[in-house]
Formats: sequence, C-alpha cells, structure tokens
Amino acid sequence: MTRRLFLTLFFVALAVSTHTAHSQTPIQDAEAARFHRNLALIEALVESSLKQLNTEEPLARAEACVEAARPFLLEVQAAVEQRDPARTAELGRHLQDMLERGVVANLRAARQQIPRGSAEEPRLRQVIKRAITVSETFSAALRDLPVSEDAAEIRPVLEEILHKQPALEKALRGTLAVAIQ
Amino acid sequence: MNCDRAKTLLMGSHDPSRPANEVAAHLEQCAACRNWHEGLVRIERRITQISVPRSQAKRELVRTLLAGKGGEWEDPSADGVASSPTQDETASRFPTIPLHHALTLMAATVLLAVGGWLLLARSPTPQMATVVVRRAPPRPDPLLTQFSENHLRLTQARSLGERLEELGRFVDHLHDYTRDQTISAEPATLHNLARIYDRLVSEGMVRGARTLKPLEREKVLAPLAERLARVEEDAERWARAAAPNSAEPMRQIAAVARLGTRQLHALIREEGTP
Repeated sequence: MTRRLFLTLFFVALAVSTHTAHSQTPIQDAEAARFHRNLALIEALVESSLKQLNTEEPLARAEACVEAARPFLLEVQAAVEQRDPARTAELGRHLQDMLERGVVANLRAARQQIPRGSAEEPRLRQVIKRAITVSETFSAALRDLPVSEDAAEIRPVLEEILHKQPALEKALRGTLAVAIQ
Repeated sequence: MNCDRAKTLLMGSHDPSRPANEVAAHLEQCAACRNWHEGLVRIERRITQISVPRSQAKRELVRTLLAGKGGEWEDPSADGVASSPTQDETASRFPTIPLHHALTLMAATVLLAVGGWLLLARSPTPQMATVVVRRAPPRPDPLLTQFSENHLRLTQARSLGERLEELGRFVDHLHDYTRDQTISAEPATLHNLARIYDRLVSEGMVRGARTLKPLEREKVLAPLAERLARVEEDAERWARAAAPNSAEPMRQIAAVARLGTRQLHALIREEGTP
C-alpha cells in the first residue's frame, strides 16, 4: 500500500515538475509571442535612430523614417488580413505618428533647404513619393478592416486614425507639389 | 498649460504613455514634467507585474473531500465561533478513516487536480478566448510604444547633443524594460534585448559621441556616462539575483554599460587635453 502511495506521489511530482519546467503561464507566453512579433519593428526603430544620429540633413532623416515606416505598414497589412483590429490600431497609431512627426516635418525642412533644379531634388521627390505610397497603402488597409462587435472599443480609435489620413496625405502631396515647381 | 494641469490630465488618462496633444506640447517644453511623466509611464507599466496572492482553493477542496464524507463535518466559523476546533474535537467529529486510505485519497485527488490543470492549461477552449477578447483590448506593447516615442523625439532633435541625450533615454528605457522582464521572460527574449542594448550603446552612443565637438563633450557626455554607470550597477545586481539563464543577458548589459562608461570618460578626457 505504501509503495502504491509513493508511486502515485512520484508520478504527480514528475508531471508537475515537467510541466512547470517546460512551459510558462499564458500571460508569459503571450508576452514572449508579442515581443517576437514586434522584434522586427523594434529593430527598425533602432536602425532608423542610428542612421539619423549623425546627420543634420532633414532629407536623410525623412528617408530613415520612411524606411522605418515600411515594416510597420507590412505588419498593419498582416493585422488587417488576420482581422485583428487591436493590433491594427496599435501599429497604425505608431505608423501615422511616424509619417506625421517624422516624415512630413523633415520633408518640409528639406524642401526649404533644397533649391529647385538642384542635384538633390530628384532624391527629395523620390522620398516624398515613397512616403505617399506608404500612407495611401495604409489608408487602403484601414478601410479594408472589418470591425466585429467584439472589438467595438477599438472602432473609435481606428476611425480617428482613418480620419486623420487625408490631412496627412495632403501635407505629403503639398511637399511634392513644391518640390516639382 | 501649467504643470499642475498637465499632471492632472496625465493621471486621469487611460494610457499616460500617449499624452494628448496639448499635454505633449507642454512636456516638450518642461523638463521637470517630462521626467515626472516618464516615471508615471514606468509605474503604469509595472502595475501589471504586481503578484496576486495564492489561492487556498485546492487546500479547501481536499479538506472538503476528506471532511464531507456523509456530510458530517461542519465549518465551526459558520456558527460564528472564531477559534478553530482542537485536534480532539475535530477527531471526534470527523468520520474515522485509516491513515493510508486518507493519504491515497489525497494523492488521487492531487493527481486529478493536476491532470485537470494540465489539460486546461494546454487547451484553452474557443469560448474562453472569446471572453478574453470581449473583456478588454490587449494593452499596447510598452517597449514598442516607448521606442516609437524615443525615435520620434530623436528625429525632431536639432543637434547631435540633443540626439545623444534622446539616445540615452532610449537606452534607459531598454534597460528598465529588460530588468522588468528578468524574472518572467524567456532567455531568448532577454538575449535579444541585450543585443539591442549593445547596438544602441556601442554603435549609437559611443560612435555618436566621437563626432561631438570637443567643447560640447563634458556637458553632453558626462550625464550619459553617469547613466551608464548606474545601469551597470543595477544590471549586475539583477544578474546576481536572477536564474542562470536570465543572468547572462543582464551581465552582457552590465558589460556593455561598463565599456560605454569608460569610452565616454575617455572622450571627455580627450577634450580636456591640449
């Protein structure tokens, strides 16, 4: 009888230790998954920051921001495909901030510095066009996202982001119009 | 907007890491509020990590199973009796079970409970997932939010000195985040964080510092070196307390911070030499 009891307890202890050694809580699993999913975005921000550190040139900074915006756009598109409004909203806000405060602001400064017909102008136009493409693709992705009742709390956030997009695109096109003159 | 108003709005905000435009404008101008805001964001992030007291449910279940055979045992507290029953009193009210039967019953109960727990832990039902989704949207990734903000501030900074200062904040946030993850995160995550820390310090801070004008070095680099020295000390302390797998990345961070401190001090001394 004692032997049977010890055997039972041994297997219980073995099962518990195996499980705890090889798995984490659901919250830890979710945190780890989120970190790995966002790692490319974090690296993009680091890369962009390192590129901008030693440059005083607004166009180079705008370019670095557009480069950093691309992986965000890809992740937003993936989130839309997966019908994940919360992630779309989270990444969409970062992307929009980057386009607004990083790209537009630096392009305006670059436009002031680069004279018409200069050797730098084609590069300026190219960066502006790339930024417009990112922004328009982002708007299209947002419009494609179905928001279910489960995610009703996210809807106003997404609507706010989408509502700001035309002004952002107008600002980007404005820099292009001046650059082309 | 004054400082009190900005703080009140931040305290009342659902997500202080994303201040409203008017508050953000104030933070841009006011260093004291900016520091206070960073502290608030850090506190907000750590609230989720406060531990929850352990449940007594399993012990209660075993007690109930052992005591409840025939429904003869009654909880003394139900009668308003504050003290617990003595051993003799309890023995007289419990049905008599031989010790080895009781132990086998306990072992079987534990086995069932553990089996059930393993099963539930490994296969969450779709209904459970739906409930979680409906309760609240997931919190934004604090590291991504912070890095995104740091990146934008760095983008808007007007001089190398300001950008280096912003990079210092980047590095601080990354260290704080890594430290908070030391206990719970998997080693791969911690190694990735340590690698990013290395890049920011060696490829960013130190390389950028080398291009700084000699006369600016003392002013810009001394506070950064001080920050790195604090990180080194902190990371070493956490490495000593952490499990072996988690300790290694913290030691890497400490080593990077140590080297960075030395290099920044060397650059400051260069400025002092004729």
